[in-house]
Amino acid sequence: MSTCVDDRRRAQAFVGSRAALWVVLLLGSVLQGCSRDAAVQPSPALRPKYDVPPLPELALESRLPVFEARAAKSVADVPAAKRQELVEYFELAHSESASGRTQHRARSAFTEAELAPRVLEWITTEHEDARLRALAAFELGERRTIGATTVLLKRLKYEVDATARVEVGAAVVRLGVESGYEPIDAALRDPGHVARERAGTLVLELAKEAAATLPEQPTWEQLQVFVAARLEAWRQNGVVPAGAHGDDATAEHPLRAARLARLFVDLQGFQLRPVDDARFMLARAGKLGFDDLRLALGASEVHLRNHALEVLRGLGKVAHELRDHVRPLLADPLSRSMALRVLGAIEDREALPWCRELLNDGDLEVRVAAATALGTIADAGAKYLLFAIAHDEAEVMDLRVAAAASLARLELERPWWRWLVEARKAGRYHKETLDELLDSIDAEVDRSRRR
Amino acid sequence: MIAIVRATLGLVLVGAGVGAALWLGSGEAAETGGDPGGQGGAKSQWLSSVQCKDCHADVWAEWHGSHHQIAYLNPEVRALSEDFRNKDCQACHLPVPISMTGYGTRTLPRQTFPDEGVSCLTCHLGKAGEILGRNSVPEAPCKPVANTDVISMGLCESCHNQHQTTDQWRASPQAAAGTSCNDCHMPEVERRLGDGSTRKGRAPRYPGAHDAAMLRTSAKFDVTVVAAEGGGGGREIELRLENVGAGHNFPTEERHRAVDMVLRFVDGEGKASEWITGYRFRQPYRDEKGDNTQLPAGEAKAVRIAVPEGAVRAEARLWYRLTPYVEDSDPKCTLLEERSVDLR
Repeated sequence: MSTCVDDRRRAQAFVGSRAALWVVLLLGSVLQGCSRDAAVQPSPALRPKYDVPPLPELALESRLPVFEARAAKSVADVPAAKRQELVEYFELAHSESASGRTQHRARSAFTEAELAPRVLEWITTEHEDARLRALAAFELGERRTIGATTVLLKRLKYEVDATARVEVGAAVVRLGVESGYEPIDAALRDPGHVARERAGTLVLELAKEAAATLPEQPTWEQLQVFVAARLEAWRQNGVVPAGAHGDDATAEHPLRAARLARLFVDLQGFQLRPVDDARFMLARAGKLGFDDLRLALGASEVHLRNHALEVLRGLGKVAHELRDHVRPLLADPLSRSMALRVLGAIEDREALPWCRELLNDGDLEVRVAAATALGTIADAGAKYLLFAIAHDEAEVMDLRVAAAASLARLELERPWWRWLVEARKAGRYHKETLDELLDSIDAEVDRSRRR
Repeated sequence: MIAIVRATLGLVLVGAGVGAALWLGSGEAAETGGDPGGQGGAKSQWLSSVQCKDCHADVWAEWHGSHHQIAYLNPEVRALSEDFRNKDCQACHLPVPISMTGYGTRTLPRQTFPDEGVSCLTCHLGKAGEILGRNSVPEAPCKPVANTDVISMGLCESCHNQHQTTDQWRASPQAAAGTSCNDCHMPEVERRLGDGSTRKGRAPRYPGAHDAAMLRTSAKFDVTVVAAEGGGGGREIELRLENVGAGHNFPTEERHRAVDMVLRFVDGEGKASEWITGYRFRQPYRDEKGDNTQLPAGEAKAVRIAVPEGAVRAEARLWYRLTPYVEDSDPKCTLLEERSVDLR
């Protein structure tokens, strides 16, 4: 019974504080001659009506069979004996102790083998010798083995050898996925990096292949600027200009498509490692994964559509073209809060009416996500809605923090930034979450100032 | 001047009137928990475990401080998940109510109430916003509705089969005997009710890898002197561990967890040898070589180590390590058993 009493008290406190706030704000706005922009919306009855269009229809279908059918077009593993034979040729071809003639013959035998690309994938992934892994990755890139795209993207996650990482990155770039510049960027920025020289050489080669302009004898700084620009362009576009790494890079490729589909099949079950791997790869694959992601967004299998949303959130603005497939999920009880966060991350301004409206939803998760999305989309029109929430001491702290963080984003720091810092100092909310929020706001402010 | 005062008073009165109207309007919205979005979704008056505290203070106190409650705060977990930048970890360390995604399937992450981790509502909030319990109690403020899922293994499985623990349980003698997760991990307690009577219940403390007493009941450690295999008059020490108490592998769950049987010999002058690892029970990390050597429920593993010449005593220890590569002195290690065998 005491819970009921407390609930009522809480509700009264909530209502009382809101009423007082509305009166003060209303009087303030009248006395200051403010426009109706300054007024907040106190109740459904009196709140000015936003024009909230109806949500697109939510139509979910089972999509796992589609992914399974697509993934079935992948290739079988190379038989162990054949693989071993080819691995030995490759080892011999790169052996420092073998004679030139032996190296040449081993090289020819390996190159002529039909299964060589699949064995190169195995060496890149499994071989104990990091030098051979790096050489195999290089060769996959040189051969434009488009089917190996996901294999190499996954290797970006797990390769620990510094030189091999740079080679894997370059190979990924050569296959038309310029997120592969990430390890090259890291190597160029670190004067003590063991593969810095190699990274510089690779950038020169990659720039030439992409017909990009670089000075003949570029400085380290010029190389860094070039790579940073390519990475930023990739984040913005998710695709390379046609022909940048050979025409094949953007063309349909059955094995690459099958392996991308496999990433969605592997999401089933309890294991989280494949889920994390898939997200890592898809978040770096740019628009290559869009066809599958579009399909997954309409899946009746909850983990498929939520996974697609997670990936889109990581991709950010480049995923803007998938907004029409995200919006219907605002009506899906299991993914609406994540859908809101994605619409925020991809900066879908047309979704603002729904975001504002969902600030008043019955589900706290949804309200928090809506408050966050309004900040990431930078909806200045929602400032006073957020202001009222952040000020309302009867509101749940999670929601107040989300509203304050969005206000801090909108106002590019003070005074809500200070409010968050104070909340952290006073231990009023989870410290690590506040740390993360403040860091992301700081980064945004930095970016804005640079712009 | 008078006109200004009048205008101001008028505004104050208008403001007060509007405020009263708003108060009433807001009150209605707050009490009904309306859904202006009208988009559906789980709506409930139950948001936080704190709401359970008033009526269930003892249960709340048992849960508070448990590894379920600190699931999202635990520094060990935060370090391993890179402060949850690895978002997949969040689904189990800060989950939505399991009923939403279904029992026995993977769950989804929530973003609110980080300090409650796996909260009361994670297990007890139903899909329609109702409270689920062992029994229906319509007269209680939270009006729990009887539901067998909340006491089923499927509830635990959504997170605890990530490392095959519930699969291991299915294959165990305990499962065959009808022993469930709650029988061990929610110990029975007697609770005093308001009228002075008592009632048996189960405490949501979830003892496990961090509970030395529970770990000690999991396995039986034996150290014996045996004749060396192949004869020759030599002797060997047999270290044997039998999983007698855990209804799953020992250790289970995380790949960090390790159980070590170690041994050292002491000579006639009291000089002790280095500790020798007789056997390590553990599932290696994915990028480590080696097999899964966890000890399944009901099974035993024995290893033998030759007694060196001059040894007068053998000392054996059984360690449980929360992470595999730490010194014995590290607080992440628990000494489960210590034995000494006279070899004279």
